[in-house]
Amino acid sequence: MNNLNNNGSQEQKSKYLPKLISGEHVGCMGMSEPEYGSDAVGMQTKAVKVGQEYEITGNKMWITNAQYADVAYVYTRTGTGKKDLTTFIVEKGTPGFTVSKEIHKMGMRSSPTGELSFQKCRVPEANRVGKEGDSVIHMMKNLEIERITISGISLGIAQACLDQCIKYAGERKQFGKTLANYQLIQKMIAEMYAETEAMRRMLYTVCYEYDQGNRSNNLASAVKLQLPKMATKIALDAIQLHGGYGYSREFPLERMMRDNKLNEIGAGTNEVMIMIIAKNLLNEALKH
Amino acid sequence: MNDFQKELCSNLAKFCQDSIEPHMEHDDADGKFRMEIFQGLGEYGVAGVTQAEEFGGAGLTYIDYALVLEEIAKYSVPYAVTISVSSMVQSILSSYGNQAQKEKYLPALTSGQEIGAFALSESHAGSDAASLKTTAKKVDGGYMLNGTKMWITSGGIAKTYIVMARTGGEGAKGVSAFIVRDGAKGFTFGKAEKKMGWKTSPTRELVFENCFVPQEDMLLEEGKGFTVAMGGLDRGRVAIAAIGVGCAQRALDESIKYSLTREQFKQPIFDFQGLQFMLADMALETEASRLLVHAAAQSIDDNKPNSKLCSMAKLKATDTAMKVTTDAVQVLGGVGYTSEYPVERFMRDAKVLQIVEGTNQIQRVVIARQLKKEYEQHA
Repeated sequence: MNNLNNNGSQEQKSKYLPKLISGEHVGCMGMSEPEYGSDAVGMQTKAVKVGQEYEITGNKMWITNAQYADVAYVYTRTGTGKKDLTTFIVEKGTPGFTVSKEIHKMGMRSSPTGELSFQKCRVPEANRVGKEGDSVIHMMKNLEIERITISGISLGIAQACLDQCIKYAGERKQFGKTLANYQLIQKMIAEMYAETEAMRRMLYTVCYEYDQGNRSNNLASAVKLQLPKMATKIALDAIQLHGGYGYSREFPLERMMRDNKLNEIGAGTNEVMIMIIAKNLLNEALKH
Repeated sequence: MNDFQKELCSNLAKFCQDSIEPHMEHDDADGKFRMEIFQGLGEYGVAGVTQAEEFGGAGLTYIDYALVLEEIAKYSVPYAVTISVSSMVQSILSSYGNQAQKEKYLPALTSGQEIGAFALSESHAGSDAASLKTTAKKVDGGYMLNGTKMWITSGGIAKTYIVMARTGGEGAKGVSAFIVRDGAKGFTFGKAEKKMGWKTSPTRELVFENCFVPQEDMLLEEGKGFTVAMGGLDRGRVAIAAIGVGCAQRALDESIKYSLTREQFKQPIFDFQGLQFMLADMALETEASRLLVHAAAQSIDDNKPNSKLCSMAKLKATDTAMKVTTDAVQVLGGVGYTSEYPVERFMRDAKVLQIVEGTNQIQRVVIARQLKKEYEQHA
């Protein structure tokens, strides 16, 4: 939606946005491919102009909502240059467009993931977003937003883990005292709190800057590098604090840990965040 | 490793590749335990590695045992755990059982025909095990057991259970140890836990309702339950540590293999320095853990079990297993998060290694206690 709103034409917006916003329709976005993950700009799915239409051929991998999407927002290659990428809106049911079965994942299990397949799939020119070759800029701007918002999920997970640990520390008794009495437990909870607050303040500050129109590729990447990583640590500690119960499905902690791990991988891995920040910070230094 | 150990491990690896590996992805999803795999390991001679040959054991050392567990854990943490718990029951029987008890129960366990399980924890008695509430009341010819045990590894699949129950007053001194067989009247299985990992190793509640245990099935005498329970701790910790090393080693092996073949930005991801640093740290932590496990196992082989080393090995190796498996999922990225590759399973299996056999918080308490003791001895 966000990408369409920023880059789509008036006709495209009025045709697709209302139903996506109301929740009547589900959207998905196709960028990654089996061989092009972190190296997304290297993608191989091609769109060739044929009369008033484009013919799309290729596969898109790791697509969230694939099986349920009414509309797919698909990045393709339209030229020979590295950055000749163009986006198309493809509707469910378009001939030549199929979706694979669900991929079995460690977590995020109630959010389906699948593969999109295009075999000579014809899409009208009217469904092209912007001009040919515009999409690398679209992609990068949209990824910044995705990286910030996805980090909000990690913040929610960290807070839920902390809340559950505080509750349990007051309930569970061992050696005649509640866990809250043990310094080891106090340390775990105090650190979880400090880390969660650091996450919250960092995220909110960067969100505020974006609301003011002050974009920063570095800050968006720093948020994405920091929050998911800390939330995995906090969720692992929360399981540990609950012992056997934390490892069982009686508490939601093991699920939250499994869910959060994906945030360190999706929308750019931790390692890609490091690459981006390093490239920005060391741009001058690298010339020498 | 000496030549014998090398041969033992490479043959065992072959068995695991052929008999365990092909099932693990599906059995993990379905939570399916296969008795034929366990018995296959038994036929292979690894169900009772350290037990005396007189009772059907292999008569090998604890270092050999650590190597065996590491090898099995590279393919399946849950099957290695099933072996280790059953082996702990054997150690208890051979250390504290009388001749009749050993002859009656050990051979089926050492041969791997049957599985042994150990029942100490209850819903309110985890790290604080001495607060357990299951009772054993003296009756004519034996004891009547009442209560519920929780978190019992191999509950339902084991035939021989060592059960801790209260015969006297509060605290550790009021606890006694009993041998209870599957099928005993009044002994049933409660709910099976739904867990994050260890899915092919069942964890269940044991329920005792007026379950009669004959006098001859008591271990040692009344009030000696904690002697029995604590006697197996050092060995149990080394075993879990060895499993942690296997778990980490597999995650490392998968990471090296994948990063050498996966190309991004026109080069294998292995060639990125960031990846190399991760892999080097993973290998370093794994090797350091292995050396610590072997040092702890050596102290047991020397008949001078060093509790501090055993706790350190458990703590270090299981923290390493968690860290290395988490990093392995990261190295493999999206595919690492799916069940098509084994690393996410090993990551889920690793987490509970930090909780069982004394949480890693308890291990720190044990280490600190030993530090104080050593200081006072030298002062």
